[in-house]
Amino acid sequence: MTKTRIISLSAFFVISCLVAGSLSAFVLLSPRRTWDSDPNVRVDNRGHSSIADGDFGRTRTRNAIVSSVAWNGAGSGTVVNATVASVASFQLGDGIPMLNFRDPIGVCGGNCLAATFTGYYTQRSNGTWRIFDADIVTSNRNWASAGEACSGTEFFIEGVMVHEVGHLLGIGHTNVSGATMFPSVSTCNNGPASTAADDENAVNNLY
Amino acid sequence: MKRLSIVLSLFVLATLPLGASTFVAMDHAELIANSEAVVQGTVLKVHSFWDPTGRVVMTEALVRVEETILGEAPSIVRVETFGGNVDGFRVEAAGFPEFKAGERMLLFLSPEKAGVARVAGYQFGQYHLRRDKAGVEFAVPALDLGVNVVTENGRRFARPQALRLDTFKNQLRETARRSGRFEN
Repeated sequence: MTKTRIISLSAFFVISCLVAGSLSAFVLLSPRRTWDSDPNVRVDNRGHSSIADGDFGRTRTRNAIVSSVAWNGAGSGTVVNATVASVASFQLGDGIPMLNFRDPIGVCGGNCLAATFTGYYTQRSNGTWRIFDADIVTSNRNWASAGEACSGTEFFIEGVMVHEVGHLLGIGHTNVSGATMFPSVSTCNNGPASTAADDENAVNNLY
Repeated sequence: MKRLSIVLSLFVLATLPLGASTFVAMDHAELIANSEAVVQGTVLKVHSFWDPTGRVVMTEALVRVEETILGEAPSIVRVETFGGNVDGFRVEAAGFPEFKAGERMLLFLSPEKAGVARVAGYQFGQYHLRRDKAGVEFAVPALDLGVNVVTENGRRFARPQALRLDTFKNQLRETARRSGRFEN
């Protein structure tokens, strides 16, 4: 086999993978992993101090996570629950999924808005993978919540958190613009708070 | 060039998302403004450990500096990042810099605290150095597809591209010169 032919075949393989990826659009985290039962995300009851909705955004964030226009309305019934509660016992890998608005482990500063830790999964006896924890922390940057005025440097907490919860459920990024799991959004765009058909296909594929 | 494109494509495929986090896009001027030094070097040693609180796994890399492109840096820098693997307990999150012994890279380093630096802008401030068959070295962005990127003030975001290393370094020096940063 000539070098040219090897290069051509390699290029064909890469292009085929990219085309296949673009046809299926949504991407699941690898390895494919799911929760045994609906996770109950504990939403920090202190809220985020930058959100001026009178509740520091905690209730709106919780409601966005469980909303019927997000993951729970995708067609697989309830796939995620959320409760506003204390996160004082925040610990990665402890089996209690939490959203902590104050980044107690100091990993999300500077240009980091939110970090989701998805590395907590184990293999079931049948070879599939089971998620046993996932935690989200946010930075101290300025956030807004739906209905609030939003400046050019603020991000809507609902949209970003629904996106992060998508990862918590086992979903990766899509190339479908406008979907919740599209990996880019601008300030004051709360579109990701509502899932799109591509996101629904992803969650229905998993659950 | 064709071969480099293929290698880079395979590199992208090999870095599909492990998890995800959300970061505000940073351009080179912003990275420079947030850096104490920009260096090119080789990772000598990497080790992961629990932080003193026992809550989180950190990874520290020793990097031998081959060239300080901007600012000042010692000949060996200690760089800390979040995540890693300790006795099979793994913490992963996309968007955080990763290090492997023997890798060559270009790093934007934030100011040191207690002798340890971090990478400015997380993966935005990390570039892998790759050589093509002709020996030309390229700076390949470390930013992986698992990163959710947000932009401020209506800016559009274009994922950074691989650039010839010498071109990239010249661009950084010019950006620093225009901003008045690192003039000494």
